[in-house]
Amino acid sequence: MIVEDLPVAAEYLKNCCEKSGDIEVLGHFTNVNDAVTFLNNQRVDLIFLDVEMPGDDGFKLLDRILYSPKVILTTSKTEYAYNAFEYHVTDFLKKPFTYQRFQEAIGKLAFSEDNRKKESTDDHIYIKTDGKLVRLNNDDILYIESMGDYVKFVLADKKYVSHNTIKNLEEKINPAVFLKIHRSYIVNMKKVQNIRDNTVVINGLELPISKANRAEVLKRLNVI
Amino acid sequence: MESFMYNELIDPVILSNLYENDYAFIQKIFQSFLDSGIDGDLQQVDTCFTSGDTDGLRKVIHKLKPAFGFVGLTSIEEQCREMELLCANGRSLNDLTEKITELLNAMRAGKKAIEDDLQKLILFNKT
Repeated sequence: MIVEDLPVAAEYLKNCCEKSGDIEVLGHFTNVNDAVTFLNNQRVDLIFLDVEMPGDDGFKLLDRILYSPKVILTTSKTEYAYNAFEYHVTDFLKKPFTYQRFQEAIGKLAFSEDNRKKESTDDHIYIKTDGKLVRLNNDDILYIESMGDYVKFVLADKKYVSHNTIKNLEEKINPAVFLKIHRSYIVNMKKVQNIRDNTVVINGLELPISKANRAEVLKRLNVI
Repeated sequence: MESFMYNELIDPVILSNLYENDYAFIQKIFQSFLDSGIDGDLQQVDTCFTSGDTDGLRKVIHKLKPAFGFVGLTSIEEQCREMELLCANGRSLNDLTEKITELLNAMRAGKKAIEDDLQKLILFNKT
C-alpha cells in the first residue's frame, strides 16, 4: 500500500512495485485518515509511507492502526531518520530514489522477515525489568497488557512491567504462540480457556477482543 | 536506441539513473508533474510569501522539492532544500525576498522546460 500525497512519487513507486514483480499495490492514499480507514478493514504486508502530508503525518498513521505491517518510509527529509528508528521501520527511502535503492529496501524486508522467522522458533524471551534482564518462557506467559509506554507481562503467579510497546512486541514475539487481540492486549493462544462474544477468558480473566482483530482470533482457533 | 536531448535545465544523468531511459515512463512522469496542481502550488508559494506565512511556505516547498527532483530539475530541488531550511530556522521572509523571487522564477522556468520537453517526448516516443 502507498500513502503519498505527491503524484509523481506515487506514480514512480507504483512503477517500482510493478517492475519488482513481488509487490501488488492494494491501494494508494494521499492522506492518513483515508489510509487508516482502509488499513483497519484490510490487512496489508507493507506500507510505503510518506511523512509530511496534509493533515496528520505518517507517524500518526502508525500510531492509529491496529496491527503492525512492515513500513518503508519515503520522504525527502533525512531529519525523520530518528523517528524512523523509533517506529522500527524497515528502511528509509529519500525521494527521489533509484530503482536499485528501492530493491535494496525490499531486500531488507526479506532479511528482516527471515530473522523474524528465525526468532519465532524461540521458546522464551528476555525482558528488561527492575534494571535486569529476566528470562520468561513463552509457556509461562498468560498475556501481555499495554500500559502506555510500558507493558505488563502477566504470568500465573507473577507480573513484570517493562518499558516497551505492544506494537514493538508484536514484531518480536513468537507469532505461533502469541496473538494481538486488541490494541492493548497480546495473549498466549495456548492459555485461552474460552471465547464469548468479544472477550477471551484466560486464567478466569476476561480480556477484550477488538472488532479489527476478531477475525484473526477466530482463524487461529481450532474449531471442530 | 536514440537518446533524447533534454532542455538544458534538466539533468539527464539523474533521469537516466531514475528511469533507465524508459522514455515512455518519463513522459508519464512529466505529465503527472504538470497535472499535479503545480500552478496552484506555485501560486501558494507566492501567497505564503506575500502574507508572511513562513510555515506555510516551508510546507509547500517541502512538497515541491522532490517533485522537481523526480523530473530532473535538480538545481531547483537544491534551491528548495535551502529555502526549506531557512524557513525551518525561522528566518523572516522579509530577509528572503531576493531568494524567494529567484526560486519562484526558477520554478516557473523549470515548469516551462518540462512542458516543452513533454511535447518533444510525445513526438519522440511516437517515432
